Amino acid sequence: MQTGTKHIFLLISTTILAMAGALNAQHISFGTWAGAGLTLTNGTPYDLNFNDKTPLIITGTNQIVPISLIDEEAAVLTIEGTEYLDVTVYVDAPPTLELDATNSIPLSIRFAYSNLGPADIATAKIQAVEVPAGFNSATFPIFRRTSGPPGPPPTPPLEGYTPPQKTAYLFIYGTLGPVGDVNAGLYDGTINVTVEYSTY
Amino acid sequence: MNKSIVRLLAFVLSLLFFSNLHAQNAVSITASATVIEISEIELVTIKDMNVDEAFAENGILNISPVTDMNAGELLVMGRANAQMRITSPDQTVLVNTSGQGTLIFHYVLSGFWSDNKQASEILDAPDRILQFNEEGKYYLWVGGRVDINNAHPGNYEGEFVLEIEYI
Repeated sequence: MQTGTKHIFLLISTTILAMAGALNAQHISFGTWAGAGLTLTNGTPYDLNFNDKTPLIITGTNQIVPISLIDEEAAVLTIEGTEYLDVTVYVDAPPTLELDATNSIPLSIRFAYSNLGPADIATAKIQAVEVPAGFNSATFPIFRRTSGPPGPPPTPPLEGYTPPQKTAYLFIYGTLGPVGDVNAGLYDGTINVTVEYSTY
Repeated sequence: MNKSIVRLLAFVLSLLFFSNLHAQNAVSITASATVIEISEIELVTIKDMNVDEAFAENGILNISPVTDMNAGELLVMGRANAQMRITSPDQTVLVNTSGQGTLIFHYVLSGFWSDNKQASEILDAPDRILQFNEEGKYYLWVGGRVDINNAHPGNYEGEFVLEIEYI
């Protein structure tokens, strides 16, 4: 009788371990599958030029130059990838634009994404979701359905098979200033944008 | 037992390998602004004044710089918070470019430190002291009055000269 009890205990332990192994394997499998193609490319406008919004930016003033999402000066990026996968976007922007070590102007960068499969950039802007100020990353599906039941499970990865692709848009914009008492010249900074498939 | 360890190691190595296969992409955007220093005063025309006879009443065309949509708008740029004085002609001669005749146009000018026409004040005192805002800007609206009762048909053009000086 005592021997029988021990067997049951061992069987339960084995089952739990087996389940844990199965869960782990599921997670790893998804991460591997996320190796499918993902491209991030610059659109038009390519860069964020505050003079395109306000031609005269003047030193010695408290001038503030805002470029908002709806402005045509907002920089555009496109993300092309597998339509049913999630991506995480990281936007790394400097807090200032700099002329040199002693002359800088405050910079505040925002970004928005558009993932309803827009036909063009104008539509993408209207549908875009703005990431709240202060956040530098966002996770979203490449293509978000707005209605209808979920589709069938995706086709497993096969040699020679390309899963359906979709394009999502990213918009980078922000505010420069106040300009302050700085030297005249060209102020610049680099914003690095990274995108990768999300793993869970 | 040894085989289990080898399998575990292979499994961990494969995880490391696959994690490097995650698709990732990065691009860089340059944010830039060219900042200039303004010591001289610059005048930028934002909107031309539209003189349209269709708006005349009893042959008198009256364009209010504060309320009329046909008023012209100018932006004066200079040193932030600096004081200035604006001198403008009371009237000017408009010449018919397509025929005979001239018209006398009597100017009315209003100004404000921000782009808010409705809040602008009529500038009717020649020695009035005005001030650029903290961005070095001051806005002007141009309207006026003209009698077209005896005017010949045609297009009339004239110059409007403003004199702005720091105090």
